[in-house]
Amino acid sequence: MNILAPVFFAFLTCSAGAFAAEGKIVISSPQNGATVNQHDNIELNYEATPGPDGDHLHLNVDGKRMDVIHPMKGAAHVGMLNPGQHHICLTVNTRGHVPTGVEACIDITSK
Amino acid sequence: MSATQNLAYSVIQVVHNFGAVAAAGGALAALKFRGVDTRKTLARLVLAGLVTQAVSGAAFGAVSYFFYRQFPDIAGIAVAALAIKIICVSIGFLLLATYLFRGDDWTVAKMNLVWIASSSLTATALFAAAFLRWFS
Repeated sequence: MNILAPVFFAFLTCSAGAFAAEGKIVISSPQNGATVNQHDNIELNYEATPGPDGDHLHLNVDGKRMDVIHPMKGAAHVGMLNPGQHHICLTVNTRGHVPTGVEACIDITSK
Repeated sequence: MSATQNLAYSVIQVVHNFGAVAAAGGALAALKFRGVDTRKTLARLVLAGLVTQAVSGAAFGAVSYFFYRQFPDIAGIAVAALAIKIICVSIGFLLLATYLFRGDDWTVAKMNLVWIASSSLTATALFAAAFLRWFS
């Protein structure tokens, strides 16, 4: 039980409410609201500042995880998108895959 | 991550690992050592290991929720692997609890079958753990 004491102490002395997301992601292209060709292979150009807790990025398309990305700057492969509206997000995550709250999202239309 | 988070995850990982050793090691040992009393002791060890696995596994999620108000964002193969782990631990627990508390009049063949099943379940959970770790 003694081995758990530091953890319990840390929990008691640490305020989870004080957590605030630090960091930033900028998606430079496609731009929010853009229309893309359904036959195009979409690349998401981005630059991220992960913040103190951030380790990597998750790429989600329409709420579904597409990739785990470690470079903080570059082009993420999205691929071809079925016709219609799509919601694409990049989120910063800890090493334990917990979203830190830092994210950038765009909505694009594929035709 | 902060030192506090790293410490919390590390301590939980240690507990989780020892739970796995107790569950898998105990089940495999029971295939070799077939004495009734020895197997009962091993059944208690494996049960303790399975409970430790379940509690420490949940603690991983609890720590994430404590610090970020969110659970880990896992998907695809990782979700399937986690489900397999949970199923294996649940079935293993029920099987061995039944063996321990209701299995006194079971045949040797039935008892052997329980231990083969327990070993298979813990081995499957260990395989799934690797996939959960690297496909997250």
